[in-house]
Amino acid sequence: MRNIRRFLPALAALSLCAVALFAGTSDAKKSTRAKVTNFSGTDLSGHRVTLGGLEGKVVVVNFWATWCAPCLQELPFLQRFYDKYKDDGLVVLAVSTDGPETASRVRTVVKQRKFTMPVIHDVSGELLSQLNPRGNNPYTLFIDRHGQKAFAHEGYSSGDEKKYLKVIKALLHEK
Amino acid sequence: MPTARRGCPGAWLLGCALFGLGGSSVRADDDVHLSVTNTSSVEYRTDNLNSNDADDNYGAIFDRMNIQGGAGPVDATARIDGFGFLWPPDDGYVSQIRLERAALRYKLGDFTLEVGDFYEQFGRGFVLSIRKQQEAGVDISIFGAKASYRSQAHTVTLFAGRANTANTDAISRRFVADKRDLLAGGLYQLTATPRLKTGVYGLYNQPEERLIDESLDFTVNGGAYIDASTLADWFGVYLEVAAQERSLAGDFQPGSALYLQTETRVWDFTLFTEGMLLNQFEQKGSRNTALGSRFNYNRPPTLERIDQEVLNNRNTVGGRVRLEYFYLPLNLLIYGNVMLRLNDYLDPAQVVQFHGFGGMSMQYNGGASRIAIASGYRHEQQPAQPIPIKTIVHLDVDYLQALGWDFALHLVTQTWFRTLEGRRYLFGSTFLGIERAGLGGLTFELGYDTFDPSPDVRNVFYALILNAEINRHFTFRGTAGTQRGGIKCIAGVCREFPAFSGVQAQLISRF
Repeated sequence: MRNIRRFLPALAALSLCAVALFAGTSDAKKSTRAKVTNFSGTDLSGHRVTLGGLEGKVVVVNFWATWCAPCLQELPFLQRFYDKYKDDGLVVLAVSTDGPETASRVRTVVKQRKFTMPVIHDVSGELLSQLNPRGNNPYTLFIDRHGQKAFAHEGYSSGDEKKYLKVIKALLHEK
Repeated sequence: MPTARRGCPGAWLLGCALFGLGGSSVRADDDVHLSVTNTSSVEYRTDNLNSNDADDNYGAIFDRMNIQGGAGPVDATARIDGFGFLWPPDDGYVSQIRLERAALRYKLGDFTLEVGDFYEQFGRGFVLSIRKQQEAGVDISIFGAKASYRSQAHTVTLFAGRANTANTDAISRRFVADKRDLLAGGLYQLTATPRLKTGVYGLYNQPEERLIDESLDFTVNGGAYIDASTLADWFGVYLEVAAQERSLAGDFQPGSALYLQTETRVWDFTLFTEGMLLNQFEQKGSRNTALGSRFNYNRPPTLERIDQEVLNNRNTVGGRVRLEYFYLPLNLLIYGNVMLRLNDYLDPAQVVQFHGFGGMSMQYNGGASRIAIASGYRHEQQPAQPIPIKTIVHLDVDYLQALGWDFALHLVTQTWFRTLEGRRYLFGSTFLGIERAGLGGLTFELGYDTFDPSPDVRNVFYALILNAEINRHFTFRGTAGTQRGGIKCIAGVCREFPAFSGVQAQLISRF
């Protein structure tokens, strides 16, 4: 009990620290969004992809895994958005987080579903640690044309794609 | 037993550098950026009736703050973990606040230099696989330095550091002591064409703990792979070989690994084959003080389903064949899978493992609803023994029905009818929930494990799980009741849950 008394104030301070420091500083307004780190990866076609190289584009980064049922339900929607809006400046990056035991399934899933959006297999978990620190699947990050985080969503429930579409349309209309 | 630790000085130094980098500017200002993901959790655990009193009747407060920031070519991450325990059953639960992860990354064109905590994997993980494994409850990084060069054709990585485990085990909540196991290695990969990649790698592993004081234990490893997974539009192949020499208490032990995977596509059919040989192949570190076993720094493929228990993946030979039919307009997948493995294959007491299963999955209602059904049979037996070690008949269903107004009914069941050395029992979980997009979900969970009929062991588990998306910054999760351990998917999120009895409230915030 003596120990917990000593640590309670510090723990409370730690948990409130984020709120106290950052609340209100990175809302949906374009002028106050936080920059996203300039990540890079190689897609399954062997092309290097960097956020810096996508400047001026709206970028959706989706973390998924072959064994994750909600991810496999969500990905076709993202592919549809990519097909419809890529000429308007939308890029969808599907980042597979599969580990060694399911790594062999990644290309199969992509080929079968005829995904044409860039798919990155994050073999070492580097992108996961940079962009998705809780490590959950699915996790979707929306980045505006200036490389700033506009919206992030963990999990997928049927109907979430409508919210995604609204966010994408709004970001595409921004200059 | 010390009750408070604050991590290594190097980690705190890096953490200070991060805050210095962010300074007072926490929002977009030119290239300076800083973002925070925080998970706060309060819980009380009652007796989970698992015949172990050392994990009952205590309260806990956890906080995990991930901070990510940068300016220009410099990028930094830090993670601060705080744990406080009320009425801990024994000294294994340690209240502490610790800078658990800290890293600085500097990028200059194709070159990247990292100092602090990083992750690394070679090939398919035979020799080294240290990566975020939330789904498995494993949390290890390498604390040291890594330099890498990545161009379209060449990838070179060199690193050296000490293994850095999270100091509270995610499953048991028990304190894990730092072990300064040395890991140093490198990889070179040549991408001759986008369809053909080849790589070679080497690794030196020296655990801090020795079997005997007089002799240094270490493992030297080397390997190579050819990745031609898209060699042709209809065919792909992946081959990896690795060898190792372990010195344990002065004795040298060789090990080897061979892995071959092919994929052939004809019309809407895909034939997938996988073969693997592991000959006394493992990458062990020092002892994990929470679990009593030694840390694993590799993670080879298993030939198994992701939720399958794998007892021996160091001395085994086997293969699997999987045939799939996929019809895109319906996202309809029909598949069958057969796996055969021999554990300790040169030993008279070898274990033969067979697993055959099949199933289907499809989406309908324009993708708003989905159903997946799988079933199969698993058999594990020593040939000389009259009864199998283990048999499993399993049924897995994932059914999500859109109800309109963005509501959906979600039923998931993973039910295994098992025998263990002749004893029959039922094992699994069933979830029934209602979800609404943008709002969250309420799920009832029924778990069952009837292996031990003793009155002081729980066989049936009930829990209510509430998931609420408060706004774009905050998500709340509440759980009350009892839960069986294992990988579970709830309200669209899949991750590893510990065995649990009590109440838990969790607030996730992102800025």
